Amino acid sequence: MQVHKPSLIVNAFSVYCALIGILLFLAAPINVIADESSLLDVDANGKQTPLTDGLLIIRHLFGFTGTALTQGAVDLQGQRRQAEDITAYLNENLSTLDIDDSGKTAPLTDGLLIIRYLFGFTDSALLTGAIGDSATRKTAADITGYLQAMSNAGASISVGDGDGETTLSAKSFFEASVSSVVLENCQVCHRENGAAGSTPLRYIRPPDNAPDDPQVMQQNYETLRSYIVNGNGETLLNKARGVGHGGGAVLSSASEGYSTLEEFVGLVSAEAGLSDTSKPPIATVPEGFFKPAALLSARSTLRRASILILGRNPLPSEEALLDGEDPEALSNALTALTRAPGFHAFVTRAANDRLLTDAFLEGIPLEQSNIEGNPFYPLATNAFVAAQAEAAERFFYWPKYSHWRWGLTRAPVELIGYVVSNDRDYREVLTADYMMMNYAVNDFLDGGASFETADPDTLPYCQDNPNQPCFDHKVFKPGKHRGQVLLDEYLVTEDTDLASTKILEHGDFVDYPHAGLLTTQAFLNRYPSTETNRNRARARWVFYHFLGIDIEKSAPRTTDPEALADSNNPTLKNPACTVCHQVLDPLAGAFERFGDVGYYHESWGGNDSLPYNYKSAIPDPTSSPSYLIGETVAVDQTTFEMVSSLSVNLQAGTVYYRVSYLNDAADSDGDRNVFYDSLSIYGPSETQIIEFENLPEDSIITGCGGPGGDSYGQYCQGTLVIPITTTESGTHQFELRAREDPFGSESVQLNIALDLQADSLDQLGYQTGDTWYKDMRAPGYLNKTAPPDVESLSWAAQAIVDDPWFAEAAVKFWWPALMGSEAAVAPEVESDAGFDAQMALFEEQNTFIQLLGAEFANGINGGNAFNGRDLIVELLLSPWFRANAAIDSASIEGKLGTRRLLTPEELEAKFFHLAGFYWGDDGGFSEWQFDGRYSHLTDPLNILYGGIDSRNVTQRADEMSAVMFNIAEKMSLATACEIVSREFNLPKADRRVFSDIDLETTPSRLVVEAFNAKVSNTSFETVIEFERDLPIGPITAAISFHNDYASHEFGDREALLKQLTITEPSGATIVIELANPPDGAKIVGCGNLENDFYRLSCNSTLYLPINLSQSGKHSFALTAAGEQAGDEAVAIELVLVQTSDVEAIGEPALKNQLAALHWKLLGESAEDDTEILASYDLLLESLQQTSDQQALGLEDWPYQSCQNHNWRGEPLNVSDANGMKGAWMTVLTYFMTDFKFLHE
Amino acid sequence: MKRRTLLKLLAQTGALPLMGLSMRASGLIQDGYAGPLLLQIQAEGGWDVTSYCDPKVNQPGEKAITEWSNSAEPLTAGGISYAPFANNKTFFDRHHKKMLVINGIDTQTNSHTTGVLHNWSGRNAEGFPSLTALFSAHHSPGSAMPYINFGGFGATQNVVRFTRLQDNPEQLARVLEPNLAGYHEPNQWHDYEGPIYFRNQNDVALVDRYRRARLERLSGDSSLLGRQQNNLKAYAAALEGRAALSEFAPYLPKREDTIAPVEGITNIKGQIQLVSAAFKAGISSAADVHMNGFDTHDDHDAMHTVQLSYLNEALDLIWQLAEQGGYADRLTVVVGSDFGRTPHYNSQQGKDHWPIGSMIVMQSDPNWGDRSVGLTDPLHNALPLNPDTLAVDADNGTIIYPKHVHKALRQLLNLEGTELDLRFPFNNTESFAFFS
Repeated sequence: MQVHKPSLIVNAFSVYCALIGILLFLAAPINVIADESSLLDVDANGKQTPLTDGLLIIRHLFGFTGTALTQGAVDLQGQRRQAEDITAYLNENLSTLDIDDSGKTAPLTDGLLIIRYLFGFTDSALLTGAIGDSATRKTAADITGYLQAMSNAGASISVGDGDGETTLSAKSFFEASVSSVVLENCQVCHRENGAAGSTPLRYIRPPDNAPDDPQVMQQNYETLRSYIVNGNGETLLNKARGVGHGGGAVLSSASEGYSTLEEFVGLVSAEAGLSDTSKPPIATVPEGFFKPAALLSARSTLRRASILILGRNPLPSEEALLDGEDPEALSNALTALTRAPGFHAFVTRAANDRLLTDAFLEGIPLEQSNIEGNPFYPLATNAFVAAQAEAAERFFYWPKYSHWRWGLTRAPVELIGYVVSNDRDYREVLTADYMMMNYAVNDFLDGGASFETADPDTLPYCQDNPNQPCFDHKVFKPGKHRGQVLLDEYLVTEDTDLASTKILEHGDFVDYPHAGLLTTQAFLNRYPSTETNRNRARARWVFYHFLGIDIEKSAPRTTDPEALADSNNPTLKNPACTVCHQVLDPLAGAFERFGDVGYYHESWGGNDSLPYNYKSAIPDPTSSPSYLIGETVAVDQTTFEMVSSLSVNLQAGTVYYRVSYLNDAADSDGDRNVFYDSLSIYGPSETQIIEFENLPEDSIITGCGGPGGDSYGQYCQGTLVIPITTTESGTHQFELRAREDPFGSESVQLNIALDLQADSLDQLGYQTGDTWYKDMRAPGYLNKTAPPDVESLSWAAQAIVDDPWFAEAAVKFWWPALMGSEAAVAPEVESDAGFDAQMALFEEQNTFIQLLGAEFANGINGGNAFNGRDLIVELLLSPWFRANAAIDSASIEGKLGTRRLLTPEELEAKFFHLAGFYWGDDGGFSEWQFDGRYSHLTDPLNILYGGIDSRNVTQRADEMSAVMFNIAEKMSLATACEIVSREFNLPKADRRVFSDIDLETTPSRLVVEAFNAKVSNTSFETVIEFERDLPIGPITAAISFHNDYASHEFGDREALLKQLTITEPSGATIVIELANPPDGAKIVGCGNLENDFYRLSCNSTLYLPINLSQSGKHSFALTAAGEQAGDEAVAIELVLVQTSDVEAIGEPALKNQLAALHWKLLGESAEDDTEILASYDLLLESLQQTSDQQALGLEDWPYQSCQNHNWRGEPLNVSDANGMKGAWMTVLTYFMTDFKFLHE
Repeated sequence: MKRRTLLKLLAQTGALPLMGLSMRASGLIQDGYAGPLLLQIQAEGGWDVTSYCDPKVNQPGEKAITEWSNSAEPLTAGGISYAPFANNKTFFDRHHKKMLVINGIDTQTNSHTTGVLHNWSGRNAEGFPSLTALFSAHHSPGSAMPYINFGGFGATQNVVRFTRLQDNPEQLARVLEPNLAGYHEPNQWHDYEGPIYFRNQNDVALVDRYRRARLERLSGDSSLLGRQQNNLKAYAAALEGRAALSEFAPYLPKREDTIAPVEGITNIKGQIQLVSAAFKAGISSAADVHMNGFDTHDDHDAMHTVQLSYLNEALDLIWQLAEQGGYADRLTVVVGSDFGRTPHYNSQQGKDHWPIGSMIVMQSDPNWGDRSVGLTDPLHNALPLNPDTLAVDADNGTIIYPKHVHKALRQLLNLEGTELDLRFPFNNTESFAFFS
């Protein structure tokens, strides 16, 4: 902030007020004379800013009109404010707005260029994805030059002593410019009884018909001025930007409102003669936040998004959608990812990271899922009873019971998944009049959805229960909850012979009032309530998740004992408490119908969910406005005596004597009661005696009790209100006789009061029909109260989604899943190191979020409003996701851009798409686990790898530790052999990793060919026969057995090799009897000689060195047999390896393969081959090392890198004739433990 | 003992079926950390110190503040007064000389989030690391697990990285030596006896060499964004720190010694066992142990009895293990919670949130021990104190806030004046003479 002189001379300051701040910085006094404005100054306020003018242009180009065009995007001080005027203006200049000179003016090219330019983007950050196909103006220099010319067109701002100058005072500046900023941005909370009503800044709103009401203006001016004069100018500006502000950031430092406020602080400070102790404004990155950042290319963006969302690289069909850096094409490709299998799982996983409702899969009991004698859910309870009756035994495990709990648990996140994956209106997450149900929930809640039966072979629980219909418990459909009844007199139960409880009769099923996920059992149970919490935790999390507001941070709490020494309903009345509670409590009240664990109207009788203690509480009689006198007395004798004597001066008429029994107690050993004998009233001359066994007819009685004998017995907490009419004025004495039935250590406590009205306390306590606490704010949302004739939670949900905060909160909701960190929050302490950088980051991000939130609410890129898929795609397109490198050593701080640590789930998905299996997956099936299977990474090692359990650990670790690295390395070491071995057993087209090479592709050797046969005969015959042109020299024939199998039931599968015959071009033959292999022959695996053949008894390879003496066509014939077992024929392979050196024959192919792996696994392109060469060197060195170790077999003890996992398919082929499997394992380990494999 | 022999011996114990690693080692591993140690216990939910270290009795005319005071008076152990509740007597009688109780700490909030933030970072605004993070960053940033965290407050502000552990030594043991696949006993097929590895160690070393060379290339990139730089540093630190992990297994508790969780209670004893092993081995200097369950809005006394009993047992275990491990004289223990609980019961016999709480600091027989400082009135309101005399000073005194405790702890732990202390300062904060 700069020093200001006491007064300023301006002309037309109302238009150019914001510029003053800038010009003042140069010299003062300064006169600003405005000429006509820039072409980009759409609202004609003398400035061109991205979030007003830029937004107006892009909205216009999308076809928005009316308030959809102008809402939140027009400076109210601008001269062009009306939507129709703006539309006309932009239509008039449409051709000029064709920034890239493509012949058409489009929102995602020209509009985007304008808004980026106004944000200060340059170079690639300006251009990326925003140049149309037919553009002729393509370079950053051309575009910037054109826009600069447009900015200057017609605008001339001169400085000097112009005519018509006006002296500007703080007061006049306030009236002209500041008042509207305050009323728009501050007054909603900063008002009497507002959210910030306890602060010194409380403004008043002028009447609608007198917006410039001078008294209002004066009061608001004085309020703000006083605050600044008291030394709070800088605090004011900081709070406006969100620093320590309960209301968050309301004005970014780039906004016009902030400039105005800043200017006003300067004027007031100057007029008050305050020395300027402030510091310059936060220095944001000049010319745009992302200027120093290079963004990922479209292809890399697609890859990163695909891996983070789906765990795999993009498919060729998805990559084909790209068109260079065209943003629309990228958007289409990203959208294609969101239509792929796996997106739904991503959405639900991301949703759980926020809602944490999967905690019920991790051991937290889901109270509502209990169906053992649960009177609320008769369909479920009786179904369980019936299942046990059918089985004639009492059991606890019942698949359908598990699926019911599973279905209830997953319902909230499945709703979000359903809404987003099906392009439904995102607001349905709170407003849906249905919930997501699997088959079990649908059955038990009478949901009305229909489910198709599943293939029993895919679901073990179906195979275990062949007589039951088979349904997949993971299939969810929308249904209506019609399965709950109330606890009332219609409920009749009986115990069964199997110690279960059956519901014989019950009242009507509840017409359950759905409000999206808010009314799901899991949400209500995850955020349970108590009698004292009164749904505030639920409200708090709704504010946090769906309105983006952390109320717990919204205001510091005073702990001044005096301020808190207040028992008169402080949350409603004490300013120290109301600052939060007036925001929180109405929404808490909106949950009025749901009990502590979430049942609808769970109180006995089914009229409400209010606790008995509240309903039976006796209001404090002193709070009655017509209270006269009273006392609390103890009754500690068992014979009737006078226990209370009250004296009061009365006028003739009727008063009400109220006696309340406060402390009923009982157990099996006794019962505390009170008995009333008589009440004597002694007036100045008359005396009345009321015998309690004969109370006046119009007495009011609550609680349980009644007359008996010569007294009235009160057996539980309750009150008697006795009307007493006096005919004379004067002092009256009221004497009560009573006795107690003692119980426990306490005496009977009675409260006695005289009141002029009989029912004045009624409004303070529970009455039949109430559904919410009398001493709480009425159910509603913020300052609006839910109408009495609607379901308040459904009403509140609608009010929430109608609030602009909801759309912004949606952006924040999805931010962590895509960006790997929470959305930035404003730093709170200005003296903190890094405050400026954090503030700059926050402001930039907050502005983006606000803008995207507004677009989301209106429909992104012309799409439907509130489309969750579009929102996710837009986030992926943003520089926050795509920032990849700093340019010219400039740095951008903050957790943004690429290379965030993968979560265990993300790493596992990436691994799966590399390996085709999960690490440690034993092929088993778990119907309870979220993913239905076991794996080392996401089950026992989940927490150690930084994951969450949604229960005790709810924040993910985002930095690697040594333990985490070890986990990653162990996974790679334990699996590399299986990956490599299985890969090379597949046809190239089916491979995930090594699709560019053969196993026989070595750096310096040429594979001649491989031949395969399936042998089912047990007698020897020729099984492989072929011809091949070969040069003179040594070759190796490697004969392998690939599919070993053994079982006690079906026997052992083995290969029997008898003879290899090679016919040379001359016709001469080389006959190798395999029972007598030549010198140098080697077996890798297990085999043995038998009579006249060689038996391969496990997957193994026999290597036969052969020296060819002729060149030309050679014929090969292998005689073999198979000992058959199991379903498959014996698989035998004959590979010829040319052992004479052929210079670097395999190198190009190997490098191509490595380049592909660098891209696929690490996201590195082949442009710089340094890394590919390094990887190739590793391959070579590993190959040499393996050779040196003479350990070509992969199962040589003590190494166990190749554990067979037969349930994943064929047994491993662990033969490694040329050492390449071992070398590739080494390289694969290198990749799988690389920084970029573990960070995307 | 040769490693092979050791492994065989460990396998014979049957402690860990896969790795067969289980034996208490003695002393630090080579080049292990031998400096001061810090263990913080985060009792999450807000504990009731009126039934613990700031005992309160019922006052005439006021609602009951503690049910136990209907029939008992506060007890004392040395210079410390405590409530005759749960198993407090055993704990305080045994350990009072080790502890300084700081009562009347005002966390200025009744929200869990802010209470946790305030108590464990020293202020109620975000931006400061936990004391544990500061401590470990100063003392042993290069250790294998410099800062252990079990899921509680663990803000690091990038001064150090935490290692997330869980109360399961078996799972941790499985990943300490990544290349170790198991241990083999001779059988009818193989007469080999000994450890089984996934790959030849030379192959593993080869990968490591190439990985480090690549890391150096990646780190030399001058165009890294802030996140990229930070995550690369974390990755590099992980590579450096893990060497000691392979030697850590023998320090882990045997399977039969592993403390099993108690149903419904956070298994901090299991957490403490792991921390103790890490301290003993010299691969860590600081840890946050995290126990939830103190948020007793209903049935308060019964639930707090269970919670405090377990907490006391856990604290006792800490010192038992510290004595056994030979590091007791290097250890500082800090115990605290989000805040306190209301000085009355609600209608469900629960207690709600109350901003005034306490912390306990323990060392092995310190000269500042066996004392309670900080004062609250009979209704558990904090009283202003003179920072020097610690006496009530209504005129010039100040309420104790977490910042005062943290400032004093930084001084006690020799962090005062360090670069980290200056980077996260408590400016204009009174210095309370808690530890003098």
